[in-house]
Amino acid sequence: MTSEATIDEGSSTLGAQSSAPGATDHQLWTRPDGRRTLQLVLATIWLIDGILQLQAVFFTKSFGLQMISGMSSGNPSVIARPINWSGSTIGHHAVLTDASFAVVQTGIAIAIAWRPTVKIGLAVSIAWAVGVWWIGEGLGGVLNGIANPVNGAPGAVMIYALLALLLWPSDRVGRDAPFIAARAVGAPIAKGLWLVLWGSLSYFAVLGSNRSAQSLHDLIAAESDGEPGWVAWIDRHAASLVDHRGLSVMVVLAILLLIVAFGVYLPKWAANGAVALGGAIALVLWVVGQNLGALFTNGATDVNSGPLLILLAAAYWRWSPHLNAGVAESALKLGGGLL
Amino acid sequence: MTSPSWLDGIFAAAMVAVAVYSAGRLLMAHRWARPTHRDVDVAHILMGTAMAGMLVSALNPIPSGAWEFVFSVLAAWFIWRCYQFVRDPNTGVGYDQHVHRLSRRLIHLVMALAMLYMFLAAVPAAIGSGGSMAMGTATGTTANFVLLPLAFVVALFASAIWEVDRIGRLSPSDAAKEQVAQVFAPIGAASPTPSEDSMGTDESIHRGSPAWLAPRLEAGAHIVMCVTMGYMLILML
Repeated sequence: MTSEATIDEGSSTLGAQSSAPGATDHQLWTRPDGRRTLQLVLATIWLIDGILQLQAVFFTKSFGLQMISGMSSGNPSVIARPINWSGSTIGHHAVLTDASFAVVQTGIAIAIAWRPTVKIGLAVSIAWAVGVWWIGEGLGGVLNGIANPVNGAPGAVMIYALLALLLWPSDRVGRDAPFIAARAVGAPIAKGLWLVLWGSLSYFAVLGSNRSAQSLHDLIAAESDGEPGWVAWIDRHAASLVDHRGLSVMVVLAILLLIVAFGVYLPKWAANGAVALGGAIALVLWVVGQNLGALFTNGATDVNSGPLLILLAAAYWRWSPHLNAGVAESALKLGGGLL
Repeated sequence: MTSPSWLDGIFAAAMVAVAVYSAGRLLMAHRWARPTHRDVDVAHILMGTAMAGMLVSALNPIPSGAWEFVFSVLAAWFIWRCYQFVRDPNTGVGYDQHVHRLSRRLIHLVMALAMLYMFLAAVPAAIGSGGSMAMGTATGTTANFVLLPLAFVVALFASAIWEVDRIGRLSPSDAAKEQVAQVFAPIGAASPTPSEDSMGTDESIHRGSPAWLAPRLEAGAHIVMCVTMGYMLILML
């Protein structure tokens, strides 16, 4: 991870000599700054999503008529009706709509990666994420009481939108911000958004049926269908581990998520500990509860929430000032100046 | 379940275009005495041709076994190139400062290994037998190694995205334009030719040589290559 000191839209020149022939200053290889690096990781995830959309199953009627329409189940009619209409439309024009979805998501990825269009890409990604959260994820099960952070609720797409907001390329605070996510919106708002997100995950962990002794076991066991043998093995063993212990596991998870949520308000070392804990929980849930985004089932439309939560945690990590200074110094030494 | 043939056709056409472009790039670089990554261009020709053949079987010029040998050699070459960099990072420092020299070698090593994986994991396709993609979802033993193609996909897409980020800063400068003009004037008159003693790799690039040949097109070809390869690997997950 690079420092965000030194930079502006930003890159630091490393490992290059400005006097090199044939390569002018703006042609030298440069390392993106911290925020730009996170933007590029976000763009990479969008590109994965866009290409995942090109899997054969999404060009069939079942994508719209079963997968999309199925999201309306249990939702209020005002939410469910547009989902059903969209599912029907997508199902009857599967090739056109799915190709369009792939183009939009790939376009978002390219727009974020292409510096002149980064704001357009991030803005479109927010609008797209809100639409997909409603139509494609049925609001993540928030309104029908089935949201469970173990399997990605309340929806990965909302984290895409949150990341787009936090990584917006403007500097409300400047480079003195304590962490990358604070640069665009300021530290108080960034911390508030973190609290709301992780606090809601904690709340959903002990919501409704998630408190039953068997629900966690059933959720994990059901996810082994269609997975490779080793993923199914992990599921089987994880499911047997939590068998009849669903309530206690979810209560512990809810407490840990609360610690993560409030951790950003603690001093630096403790805040980093909470952020690291959040990243670790996201990784465990991604492997066990989300089966690595179900990428091996040929039916995944995205990578699910695990990688996005880890990316978010990286945006809240507080870097040492001496590290920033060190990078700046090495950039000056090696690059003969900064862009 | 197979992917739509029109989609495979589009990706195959893109691969043919990249292969043809890379071949033309090699020729032009030689003719105009312009530096280029010749090993990368050769890799793009081979990978483009092979992937076009995997996407549309009718375009497959040689048997899968031969491709496996080709990409084993290519992977070995890029391992050697990485080793060269690790041993002496300053080797051949000169013109290609618009790229990160180690990551360029590493990503092409990853690409060669990904090609090898695809040929080893896929059901061999008959040469010239028309039809759609000769690859499909991993089954049996292959299914236990799906983390490997997933890692390839992540590396390839990250490389494509970082390349898009970089491509905008590769606009030709006045100095570069001057050098291009020199090259187009009396061809070969004043331009020193990169030495040929190391297969046109970094060692052949010296100060005083003309500007890098079409760096944005080179990056564009790389992006298309990465995305297409990632698409094919995703179909194999």
